[in-house]
Formats: sequence, structure tokens, C-alpha cells
Amino acid sequence: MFDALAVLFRRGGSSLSVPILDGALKPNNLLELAPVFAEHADFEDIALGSDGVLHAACGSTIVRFSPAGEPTPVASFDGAVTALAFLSNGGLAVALGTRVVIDAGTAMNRVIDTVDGKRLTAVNALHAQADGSLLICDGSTMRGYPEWSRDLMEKGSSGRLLRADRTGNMVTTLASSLGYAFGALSDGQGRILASESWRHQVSAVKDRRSAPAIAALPGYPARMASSARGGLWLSLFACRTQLVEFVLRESDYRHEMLRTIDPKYWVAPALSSGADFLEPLQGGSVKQMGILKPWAPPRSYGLVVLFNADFIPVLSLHSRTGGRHHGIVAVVERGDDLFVLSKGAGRILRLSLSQIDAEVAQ
Amino acid sequence: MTAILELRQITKIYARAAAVENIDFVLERGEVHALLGENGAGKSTLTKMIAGVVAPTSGTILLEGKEFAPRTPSDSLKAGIAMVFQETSLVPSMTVAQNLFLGNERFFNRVRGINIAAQQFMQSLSFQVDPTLQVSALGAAKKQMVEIARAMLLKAQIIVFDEPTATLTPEEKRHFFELVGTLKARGVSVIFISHALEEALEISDRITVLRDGKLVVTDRTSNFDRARIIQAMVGRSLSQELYGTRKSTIRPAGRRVLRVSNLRVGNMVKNNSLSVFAGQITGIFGLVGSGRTETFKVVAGVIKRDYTNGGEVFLEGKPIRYRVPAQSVRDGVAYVTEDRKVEGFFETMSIKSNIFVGLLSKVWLGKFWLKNREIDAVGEHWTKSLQVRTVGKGVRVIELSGGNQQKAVIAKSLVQNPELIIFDEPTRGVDVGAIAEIHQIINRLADEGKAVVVISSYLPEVMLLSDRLLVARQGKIVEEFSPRDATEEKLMYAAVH
Repeated sequence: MFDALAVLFRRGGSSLSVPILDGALKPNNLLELAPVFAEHADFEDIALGSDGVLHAACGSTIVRFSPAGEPTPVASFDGAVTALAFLSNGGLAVALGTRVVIDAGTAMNRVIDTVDGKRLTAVNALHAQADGSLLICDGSTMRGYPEWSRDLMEKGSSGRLLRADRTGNMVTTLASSLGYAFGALSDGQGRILASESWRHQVSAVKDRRSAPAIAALPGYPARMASSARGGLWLSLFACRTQLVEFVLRESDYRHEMLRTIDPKYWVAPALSSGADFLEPLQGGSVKQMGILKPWAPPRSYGLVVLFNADFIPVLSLHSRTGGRHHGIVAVVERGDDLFVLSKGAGRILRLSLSQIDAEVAQ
Repeated sequence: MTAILELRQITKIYARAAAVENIDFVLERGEVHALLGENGAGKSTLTKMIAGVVAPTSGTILLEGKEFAPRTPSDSLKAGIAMVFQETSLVPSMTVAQNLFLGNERFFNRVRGINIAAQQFMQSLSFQVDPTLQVSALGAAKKQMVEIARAMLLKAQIIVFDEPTATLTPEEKRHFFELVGTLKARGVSVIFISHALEEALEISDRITVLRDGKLVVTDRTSNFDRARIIQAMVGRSLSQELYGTRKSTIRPAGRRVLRVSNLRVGNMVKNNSLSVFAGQITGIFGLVGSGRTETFKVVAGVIKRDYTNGGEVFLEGKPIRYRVPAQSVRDGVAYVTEDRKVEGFFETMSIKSNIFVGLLSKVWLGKFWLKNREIDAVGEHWTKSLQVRTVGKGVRVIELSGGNQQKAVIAKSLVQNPELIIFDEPTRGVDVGAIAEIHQIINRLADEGKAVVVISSYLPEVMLLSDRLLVARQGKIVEEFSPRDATEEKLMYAAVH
């Protein structure tokens, strides 16, 4: 009752709180200390080819990595690649922000740029299903992919999850009005999942409806990948903070900020931080003797979480506030290897699952 | 050393059952004598006879070589014997200063005068307690301090401490031990009853162990170790069962049952955040005043969080704000209190009635008249299940030993079939044998998939039970440990720094 009255009178409800990192999400330094597999400022997405070789979207090209991490370009496009996936028939699907190209690089390629009469605006994730179809995340129909931060500050909820059949001729909307769709996955039990970054949840999508499968995440979820253990890996590109939650609640302040401040200095989550002294800070993020406390409120953070088939977190990998491997947007598991893309650092990290298990068990 | 107090063949019989039987006990001048035994072993009865609370059925008491037969506690007090009880005997509605001088007032009293005198006296003992505060506003530790101070003020030659450290923080305990050392140096004799064996081993000169109302052994402390004491107390070796060094297996976390986020309760809880998961025991360790109990009392609806910026509490993902505990009980939250005698049970009611009251608070049975048969059936099921040992069928809870009282309180909660069970100091004032049984109950609940919280000030207990260890300090959780890497030193460091 009190909460309802408080909200009614715009007193901000009972409090301003964000979920904490505890239990399986207890912070560690596994991501921060992970070996760097490859480094390039333009890395955007990673995926495994049908032969199990790691590929990455890097600027407008797709590169293939040797076991030592040496990149070789295999395809290039006329715009920045915002997502990639390998179809069950071995074909390549790429997203170029406002369009999706299936069987890209071949004469058979097909382009999807409009679905249900709405143009694709911010395609940021693709996931190939076993039946040959392709799940497409159109993060927002209001703002382009590079403007994700503005979409958050405008409290966007126009994301869509789409499915293209194996021919690419038929595209259907599985869910709409998503709070920024930024990752899709068809898990081992046939459930279709979509990350909703601004709602801090992963939703299960069925019959054009979405319901929270993993709720109250402490960060902004991004792309997902299946785990051989039966669950899923979820990347979170930033952690929630009370300061950002506060700004999201204060509409006048937010609109003024959007209107007058350079986007890189907004009070908003970021993929990396600490490079510019003009960045906004919460009190606890003030550096002392040149060192940022690892438990300071994070503007950017590195976080990957493994969930089991019941969507219960099992373990997590962190790069803490003072670290560098922030802005995790993609993760891929291959045998004992786990590849993690830190967009904030422009690095692909390679971790050993057996070593992770040993570290977590200690 | 010479004997200041001697008990010869002392016996006390209650309703044809001997609580204490033919005990010979000698207290020497200036010694600290630890009296150990399971609950129901006869320790309290023995000391109550010394303090004049009850009269012995047979046998004699000699004080400084002369026969001594106190009829009332004031007789003992006049003779220089003071008793500090496990449950404080302070008057809650009076101030600390008034309590200190209660019974020793002058004809004319100035409030300011007794406040100053009390302040000076408390300071001489290095006790940081405001003499103008009402006792009801004090925490358990501070109440204990006032109780000890009162005994000191009466210049007693023999002081009997019944579980004096149960509610004290480790720092306060150290302080208390120093105080006992001071008493000893002044020639005061101390009888010290405790369930914390380490304390007995640390501060006593001699140890007497009682079992089933009989004296088992009296010996110098240097001749004892923990295993020998336990062996003497319970007649069987429980050391492995009780004090296994650390958990070999850790239960994996299930779904998140409880999420507390930025909780604030006055000055006691400050932006506290934590989660509790199903199928696990979450241990909460912290010193008195760290806000542990208050946090979980908010969850259970016993107290309310701050109205503005009081944080959020989510149970099974749903936000909650309980006004009364009954709402939390209906939602599957059980809170087993740290103060069972005040909040845990109805002392004049039978065990079965108490357990049935627990059930009634959860479900509406749809009828106004209840048959005794139904109440008996529920009560019997739970007394058997939790192995509550009683003398007879209709026995009242107050007549049980501490361990069995605690089991009855647990049964009263478990009958509600809760999903989240909060144990606040589950083995405080409980005998060693019952500790193991209560630990088994707690483990069983976690194995059944329930979310279990154990709040404890006793490090070995919290380390032994927990699958996750959270340390509270100054109103918030400051550190999380896995039982694998937790040590007593690490936990204590987190709790005090």
C-alpha cells in the first residue's frame, strides 16, 4: 500500500535498489586474468563455423581464426557486421545493422530488411536453429544499433524477436515490444529465449508471448550460447547501478541530459570506462592514489554467467570495476574452450572450462 | 587455597525425580570453577541451591566452614553470594542506573546522583552502557553487562555466572574474561556455567562435570581437553559429530528464494543486501549489533523496514512488505527466534498445543471446535519426528530442558511446512547432545530442498553447517565465503574490520 502511494506521489517507491552479485555471481577475477586469444578494436560478435573453427565479425569483415588466434578474412561487406551465425547447412548469416543477409558471400544470398511492414533497425544478434531456421534480434525499431544507449535512456521497448525459415523467404515475428532484444537462443529443450537488456531479464518466447525465464539480473544481458552441460552461457555487457536506475527514474533530468550532453558522458552503462576524466562517477568510483576500488559502483563491467537447464546460475566469470575486460557481448563454448568477446577491450578471451571448474571449486 | 563453599551429599528431588543427587562440591577461595553438563544435568539446580532460590532436599552447604541454609536469594546475597542468571533478571521498564541500585536505594534518591554513580561504576568496569537508558532498549549483550555490574556492585565473594557469555560478542567475551581475572585477583570465587567448552578451558582453574544430576568428575582444567569433557558430559564421543572441521560436500544453490536489497531499519540495518537460495544452508555470522537478526525479522514480518528508502525484499521473486508475522507464515517463512522463552512458545501450554498453534497460524482448518485427538496426532507426529524428549504426555514446554524446548519451537515452525526457515542462534543455551540433533534437523531441511538460514555467533557452528557463509558488520553483509576457504580467522576479520 505504502509503495503504491509512494509511486503515485512520485516519491520513488520504497527504494532504489539493484540485485547484488552474490551466490554463484560472487565476483572473481577469472575474466580479467583470462588469456587474450585475439585483439582488435572492431570485434563485434563471435560464432563457431560448421567445422568448429571460431569466426568473428570485425568491422565490415568476417575473420576466421587459426588455433593460435591468427585471423584470416573470409568475407567482407559494405557495412559494419553487427552479428553473425552459421546455419545448420553450413551457410553464413550476417546482420548489417538494418538488414540480414542469409547465405552471405554466395550467389544464393537473400536479404531481409523489412518484417511485418517495419524495417529492421538494430539487428544485433543471430542464432541458427537446428532445423535450419534463423532467430533474429532486432534490438529496437526506434534507434539504430550504435544508439543503444539512447534507446535505454528513452526507455525503449520496441525490440523484436524474428524467425526466418531456412529459405529466408518467410520471416515471422515471435515476440515484439521487448525491452531491447540483444540475444536469442533455442536451448536443448526446444525453448526459445531472448535477452531483454533493459528489463534485465531473459524471456522465454512462446506463441508470440514472452515471459521471464531469468529475472532480476544484476546487469544488462546480451548474447547467449548453449553449454554442453545442458544450460546456457549468458553475457552481460554492463552491471546495473543505482545511479543509472536513479537517472532512469528522473525524467526531467534524463531528457535534459539527452538534449545537452555528449552521449559518451551520459550517466548510462558503458562498454568500457576509465579512459576519460569527464566520465560520470558514483561516489564510490572515485580513484584513490590512482587506483579504482574493485567493488566501486561500475560504469562498465565484465560478466558472464553459466545457467543450468533450470535457469539457476551455476558459476560466473568477472572482470571487476578496476579491470579491463569489460563490455562482454558474446560467448561461445567449444569443447574445453570458452571464447568470450570483450567489446569494451576489443579482445577475444580464451578460457579453459576445466580450469574454471577448478578455480570455482576452490 | 582454602574452601569458601562446600556442598556435601546435596540432593534435590522434584516430583519424585532427583534433579541433583548426592553431589559433593568444593569451591576454593579465588578460583574460577567451571560447571559443565548437558541441559538437565543439574547445573542450574545446584547453583540455585547455592543462591537460595531453591532449598535442597537433603545434604548440607558449608560457607566458610559454617553451615549455611539460605531460604531466599537475599539470604545468599547478604552472605556474599550473587548469581547472574542466563535470562536477565533486570526490570525492563527501569533505567540501567535504577536497576543497578535496585534494592539498595537510599531513603531519598536523586536521579542524577544514581546516574553519575552508575556511570562511574560502569566505567570502572570498562562497560560502555549509558546508565540513563531503559533496560528494555538494550540488546542482550548490554543487559548481560548490567547484570554482571550489579553483581559486582554488591561486592559478592562468590559469583555464580549461568551462561554469561551466550549473548556476548567475542570482544565482549574477552572483556568479560578479563573481568573474571580481576575478580579472581581480588579473591572472589566464581562458578561459571557455560556450554562453550573452549571458554571453560580458557578461564577456569577447575572443572566439574555433571550428568543426569550426578557428579561425573572434578579435576584441574589442565587435565582436561575438549574430547574428555564431552565424553564426561554425554557419556559418548560426540566430538566428531559436533565439531567436524569443515564440510566435505557443499550443496549447490537452487532457485533464489529470498532477495533482500538495500534494506534499511533505523540505525541497525544499513543498505543490507543478500540472497538466500533453496536447497542450501546460508550461514550468517556477525557480532551482536551487526543487524543480522533485524534483517531477518523484517523478512519474517516481526519488525518493519524504514518507510522511505527502506529497500526491497523479494520472496520467490515477488516484492513483500509484511505488517504482521502471520502474513509471512502464510507465505512460507518460518523464523525460529533466538529468544525462545520470550518469543518462541507459550510456556503454560503443552508441547502439543504449542505445535498445534503453529499449524493454526498457517492454515484455517474451517471449524471452531477442535478435537484433542487431532491436536495430539499433530503433536505426537512432530515430537517423534524431532525426538522431543518429555516426561509425560501433557507436559508443559517450560518444564522441558533447553534443548527440548528448542526442538519444540522448531516443531512449531516446521508444522507450517515453510519454504524458508530462519534459525536465529538455534543452539543457544542448548546442551551438547541436543546440538547434534538440532544440526541434523537443519541439515535435513536443506537436503529436502528448503532454503535455510542459520544466524549464529558461534563460529564452529556456522562453519560446520553452512553451504554459504555471509558475514555481517555494522548493519550489512560485507563478505561472502565458501566453506572451503573460510577459516575462523577470516570470518572474524571480516566481522570486525
